[in-house]
Amino acid sequence: MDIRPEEVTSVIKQELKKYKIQLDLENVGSVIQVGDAIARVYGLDDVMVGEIIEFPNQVMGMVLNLEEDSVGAVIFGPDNPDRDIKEGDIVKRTGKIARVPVGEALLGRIVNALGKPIDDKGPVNTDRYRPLEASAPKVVDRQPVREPLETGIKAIDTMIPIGRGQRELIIGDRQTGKTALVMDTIINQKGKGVYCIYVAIGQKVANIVGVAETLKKHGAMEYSTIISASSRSSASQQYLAPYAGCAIGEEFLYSGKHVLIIYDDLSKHAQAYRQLSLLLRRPPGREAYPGDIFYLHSRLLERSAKLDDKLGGGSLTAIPIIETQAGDITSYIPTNLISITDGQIYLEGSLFYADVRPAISVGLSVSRVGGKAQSKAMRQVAGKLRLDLAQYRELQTFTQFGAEVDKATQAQLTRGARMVEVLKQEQYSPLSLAKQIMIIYAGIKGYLDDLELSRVKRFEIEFYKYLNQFQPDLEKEILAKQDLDEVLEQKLEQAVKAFKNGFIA
Amino acid sequence: MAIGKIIQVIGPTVDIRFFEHEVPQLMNAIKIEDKEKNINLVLEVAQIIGNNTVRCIALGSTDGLARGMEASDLNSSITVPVGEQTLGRMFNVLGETIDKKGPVPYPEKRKSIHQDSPSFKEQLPISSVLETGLKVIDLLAPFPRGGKIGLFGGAGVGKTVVVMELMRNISQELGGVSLFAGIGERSREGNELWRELNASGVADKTVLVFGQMNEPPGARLRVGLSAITMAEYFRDEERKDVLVFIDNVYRYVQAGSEVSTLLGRLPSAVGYQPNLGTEIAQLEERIASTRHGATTSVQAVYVPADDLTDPAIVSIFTHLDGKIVLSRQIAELGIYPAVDPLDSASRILDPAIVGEAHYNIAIEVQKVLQRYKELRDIISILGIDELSDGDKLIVSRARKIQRFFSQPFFVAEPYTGIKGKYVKLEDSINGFKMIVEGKLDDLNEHAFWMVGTIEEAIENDKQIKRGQQ
Repeated sequence: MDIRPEEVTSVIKQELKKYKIQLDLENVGSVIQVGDAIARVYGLDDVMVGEIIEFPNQVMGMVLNLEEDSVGAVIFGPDNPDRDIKEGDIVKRTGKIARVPVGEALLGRIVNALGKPIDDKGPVNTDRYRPLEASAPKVVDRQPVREPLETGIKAIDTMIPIGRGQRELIIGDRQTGKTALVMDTIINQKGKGVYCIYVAIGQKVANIVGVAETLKKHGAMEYSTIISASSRSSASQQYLAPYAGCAIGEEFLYSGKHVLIIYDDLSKHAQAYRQLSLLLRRPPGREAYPGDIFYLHSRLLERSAKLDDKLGGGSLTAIPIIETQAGDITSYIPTNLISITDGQIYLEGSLFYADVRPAISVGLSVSRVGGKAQSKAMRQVAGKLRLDLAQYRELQTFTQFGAEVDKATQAQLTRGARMVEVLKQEQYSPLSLAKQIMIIYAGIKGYLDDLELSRVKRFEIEFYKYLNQFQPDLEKEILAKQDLDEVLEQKLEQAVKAFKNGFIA
Repeated sequence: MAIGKIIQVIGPTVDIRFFEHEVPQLMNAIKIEDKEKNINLVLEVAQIIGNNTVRCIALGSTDGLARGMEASDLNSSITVPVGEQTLGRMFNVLGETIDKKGPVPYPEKRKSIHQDSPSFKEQLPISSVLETGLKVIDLLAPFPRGGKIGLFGGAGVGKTVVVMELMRNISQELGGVSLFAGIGERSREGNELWRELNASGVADKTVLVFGQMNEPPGARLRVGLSAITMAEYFRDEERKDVLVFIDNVYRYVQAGSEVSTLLGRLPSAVGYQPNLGTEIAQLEERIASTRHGATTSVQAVYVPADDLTDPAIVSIFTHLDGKIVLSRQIAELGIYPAVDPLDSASRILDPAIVGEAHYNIAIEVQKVLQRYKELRDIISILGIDELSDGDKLIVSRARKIQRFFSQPFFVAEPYTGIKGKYVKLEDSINGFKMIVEGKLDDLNEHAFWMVGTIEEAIENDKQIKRGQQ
């Protein structure tokens, strides 16, 4: 066979040309060091901060540090993702900043921190993506919170109301009912046009499975998405999960819809970030957290907002959860979060075991904006309830040591004890705002004062039954009017009186 | 204009190498622009680290930066617009307007954000009281005219609400110009303040400068200086009295500590920057009253982990003429403002300045509260009945005083539905005087809660007693 030199040179030239293009496009690097799910890579000259890079076997990572002659990156994946990476392995750029798929296709799905589905429903069908990190709505792009986000929980909707676009922290020790509260809240959003996103961070897989089951059972998965970064995911994925959840929420927010997002929980998120930071050799500060631990959470939670009407008026409500140790809400991460959010609901272990459930500590819980979003009727009956109960608690401790009490104080104590009883509520039994208004009305007007404490619960149950049977229009009227005017108040008063007469007899 | 290249990016710090003899000065502004990637970033030179390289702090997000990108030295430090044109406007750290009302009319009228603080011979001492209308502050920690007062409190005890109430109550009385610097706080609060100012019609005498908690540390570290620069111009060039509100000074320190280790400095106590004291002084010393005009300042100070011995908090204390400490235990009782009466103090609570009468009542009130504090331990073990009659009386008066410290706020009206109250200084003093002198011993303590003047408490008591019959 003849060898024609011209042909050979042209082939070589072509190959060379291709080779160059390939190099340009792929912009590769090679691994120098790897360990603890962190890699140091040589090359990748044009790589950007926050860009996703690809290791062999489709293992992904993200660039965090750009140093003069190497790049520091975290590696994603469950269960020792870095085990198969060796020195000298080729790393490719993707040209993309970390992002997740977004849109309606995510509803009813369970995905990981990068938006990859981990349920058995196949791929997510959407062509829309959003970057994990996005800037928060600017000061002028917002408007004050004005619509309520109904949780269906009496103690919250009356005293610590949450508005759409608010950030309300739930804080408390292990096993005090934190997740139960948010489950009820998600379930209560059914038919209210609020999309729900539940971000699980650092929890054991079985818990997340349990959450998914509960939501499914109550028909809440149809409007919900679960982002799972369980404790078996790498620290880097636990670090990214809340941002991914937020990005999915933002797609709805910016199209004028209402979103509720739960971060369960940010203590574990802070711990995952501390792990990453220390492994990247960034110096530790208070409690060994890195200096930018506040910014980690502030930039996340500032992305929740009530948008101005010009931008569609959508809202993103965030309920982050923080776990405390031995009831200490004044330690570092809890106080950071309290200073970012618009209020907190503090669940107290001692109340929980004294069977006051939900175990909300009235004195230490507050909502800084929700009051504005309450309906007029609710404010009429519950406006001073929280402060009154806080005073009741103080009086109770003060008088339990045998102080003489005058009549007025005794009356305050009687009323307080009845109101505490009224505010107790079982899980999975959300109440409409109208029902809440009616029972609180009965309480603050003193109709429960002469009942024995143990009969208050019974009174409440029978009262609802009575209303459903004999006064079904009253609830509708209160819901429609949102205002207890004289006429309506009279009707309500008569209903309470009529029922009470029957109840006592 | 010198052009350099990015060689390293770690978080908010960026290293840029220039040609020899073209290395920018410290504090110079550097610009990085990339239209394709939608990057428009300003940085400030923090260190010269050798090899013709400078280490800079980014004032915006560094996402999307790559090594080899070009950066140009702007040959001056960061400047912000000053003067009349800033009134009624809202700015970011770079002096850009962020209120969607277009740029300022005279963009070339600017000043550098790095200025020297007023010298010894320019500064003035403080000598008079400014009424705030808040009973507990006026009585125990009177506000010095032309001075600086700090509101210290842990998370969620109501610092911002007190700042807002003070802003409402004293800006009208003082006249002059008000400036609000939002450092590392909530954007929502910024929005509400902006709307409120516009609705109440005082916006045209107010300047707003924001670097909120969603912004990177560089912006939060410099926005305080941007705001002070605008205030200084009113004081020094236009000879006006200025009222400066800062929410929150701690966030300035915090931003400094976020970048400190990334700049290569060794961490100091609790991980703070080694130059903590110097950095605070750079901001605080510029907020001062001079021969040209008075600067009165209200500053909220976040107390991390409720720890008043935190190194940053201790350093900030020394710069203030008065401290108002907000306490979680008091907030828990439902008493707002949750001022801790025994921990709050003012340099001007001095008979020579506030007068004998005021001073004596304040001391008397503190004495009663101090005694109650001591007795509380005894009560919790033995019960109140074990106390002597004299002590029982002190306990009942102390509890009345505690409740009388609470006061409905104007700025809280939308949430509580209770009308705000402004109480004149003499009415406050008179009210506390009646309690400590024992003239109101028969009243129910609940009557004192959430009222303005003492007359309202007396009226309340009548109602409660009527209700019982």
